[in-house]
Amino acid sequence: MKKLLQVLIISASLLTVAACSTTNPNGADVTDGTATDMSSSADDDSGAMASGAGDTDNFGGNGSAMDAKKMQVANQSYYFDFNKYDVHSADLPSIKVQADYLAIHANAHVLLAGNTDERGSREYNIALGNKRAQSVSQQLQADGVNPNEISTVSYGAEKPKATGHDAAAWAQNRRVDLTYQTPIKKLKKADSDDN
Amino acid sequence: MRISLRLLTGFIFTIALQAPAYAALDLTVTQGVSSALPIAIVPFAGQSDLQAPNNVSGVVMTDLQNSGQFKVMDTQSMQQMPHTAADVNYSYWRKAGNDNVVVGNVSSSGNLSKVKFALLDVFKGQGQGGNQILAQQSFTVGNSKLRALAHHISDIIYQQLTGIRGVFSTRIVYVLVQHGAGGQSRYILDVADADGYNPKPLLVSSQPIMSPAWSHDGTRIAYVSFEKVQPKIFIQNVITGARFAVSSFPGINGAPAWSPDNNKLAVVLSKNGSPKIYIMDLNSKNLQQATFGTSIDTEPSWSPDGKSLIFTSDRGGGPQLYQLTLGSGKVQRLTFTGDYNARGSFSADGQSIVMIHRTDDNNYNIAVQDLQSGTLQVITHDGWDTSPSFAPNGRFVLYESDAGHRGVLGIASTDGRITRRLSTQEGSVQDPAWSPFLS
Repeated sequence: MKKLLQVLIISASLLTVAACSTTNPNGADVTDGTATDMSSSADDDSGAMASGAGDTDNFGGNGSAMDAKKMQVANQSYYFDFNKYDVHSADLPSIKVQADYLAIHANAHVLLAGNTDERGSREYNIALGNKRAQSVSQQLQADGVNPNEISTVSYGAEKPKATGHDAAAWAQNRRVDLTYQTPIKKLKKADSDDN
Repeated sequence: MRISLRLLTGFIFTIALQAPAYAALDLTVTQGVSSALPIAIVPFAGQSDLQAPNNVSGVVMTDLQNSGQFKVMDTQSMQQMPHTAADVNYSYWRKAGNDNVVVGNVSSSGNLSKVKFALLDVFKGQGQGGNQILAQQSFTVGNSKLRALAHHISDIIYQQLTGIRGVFSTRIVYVLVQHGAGGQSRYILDVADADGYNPKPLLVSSQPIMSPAWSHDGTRIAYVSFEKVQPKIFIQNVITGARFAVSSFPGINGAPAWSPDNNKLAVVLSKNGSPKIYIMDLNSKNLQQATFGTSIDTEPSWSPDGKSLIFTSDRGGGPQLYQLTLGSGKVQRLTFTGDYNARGSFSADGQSIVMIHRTDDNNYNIAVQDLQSGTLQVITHDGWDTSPSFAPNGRFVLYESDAGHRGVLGIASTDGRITRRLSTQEGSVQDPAWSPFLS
């Protein structure tokens, strides 16, 4: 009954649109549309948060030392199940390590960036990324961190780390990145050098 | 103590007007076109290249064909080429299987063109009673407006023959994403004609732009910009390009939706924890929280009467659509088919809603639900479809589809019979939204 007919149209639409002056018959002109508040966007920093990497030079382990890195005071990624925002219990020890450091270093600051895989609704994914970041934030606070040391942002599906389109890539992208916004101080002298 | 942060700010700048060319990617007809109205549009005199973007009869042909509601006669098969009503041999066009014929001519002098057209009824023309001329008009326009005039003529023909207002002169807004070398991306907020032509950038940024929403008078667009890393909601005038930020609270500032009177904006904020829906009075800037609790509440959309909002919430587990009655605060679940329904919005008559629906095969498609009966019909089948919005006449749904993991514009008939996708080589298209009627 249902017949599938696919027609490939190679037509007028391939031509580049030449007309520059394009008023529609209703007179609703779109100007060459640049936003007008260019100046304010350059110096108004309210609500802006740099996502630059913290200083991880002291913890430069890579690759093979993944598990070890999780238990160090360092930038971390915590992963989530599809459509879920509860923290994996396996990540709790690593979060505790970060929390202990943040609790001691009152001037330290972390950014929690929540992300989702590419599937589904964009705005729902923004909300989901927010809830994931909030989950990590709440765990840090439960472990004694002052909320002033934590910022969160959700990118939803807009900034995927893995660019593939399969289950492995999606798993990589369902994630909260914890990034230190302040230099990480060596733990040996941490107890006394930061008040 | 405040921490000094290096500001990673997005760049906003003018770009030269360079129109990307949209190409029809595919046209899929999933059911017989027996109900399509057979019509012949005779190439107008005075214009030779039917494929040219400003060829009036060529644009009308494409408009009507793409609507899915017409069976447009192939010009190669035409053995007669009349240009005025007086020259039409009705019995020939009847034998060729047409109910209607459109004739016309274009005469240009300098920068101006005079365009005459007539829409004719073949049956009446054969002497079966009544005036065979259903519509006849002439226009004088600047040459650069010939394409816009062609859309206007398509609207006249469409309304005359279907009884429904056409949407060929409306516009769309979408975000075009270009991924450059070195991982840098460019996000462009484009306004274009309903067929993807004449894109004009409203905003260019190095950071994501999301969720553009037309005011109901078509003059302004609200959208979310991450240009300062943390998202803000802006309102930008489509005509002048002037814009201002209306929402920049800590956390999410998302999913703006205009009230029917354009005086309020429903937004999603997470300033108090979970993403919740708030209603902002655009005049007084008064902010009122509309939904409560710890669940995700997002993607508000106003009912046409302004008395309720529908929104996506995971309060029952997965994402489903709910309706909030603004007077009483009563919340009622609307969707029960499937475990993922999101981004709902109303048709202009308030009778149905369109949404993202995950089907049993784990594909994300567009579905329309009749609010009276509760019946849900899946109308697209590409598997990666998202961000649906109704055309102002309710006959079509614009959505973001996916071709080779690149976002493309999709247009489906609301009955699901026809889907059409438009691609641009210039990037990935996200979050399209159909304008209201603009005149």
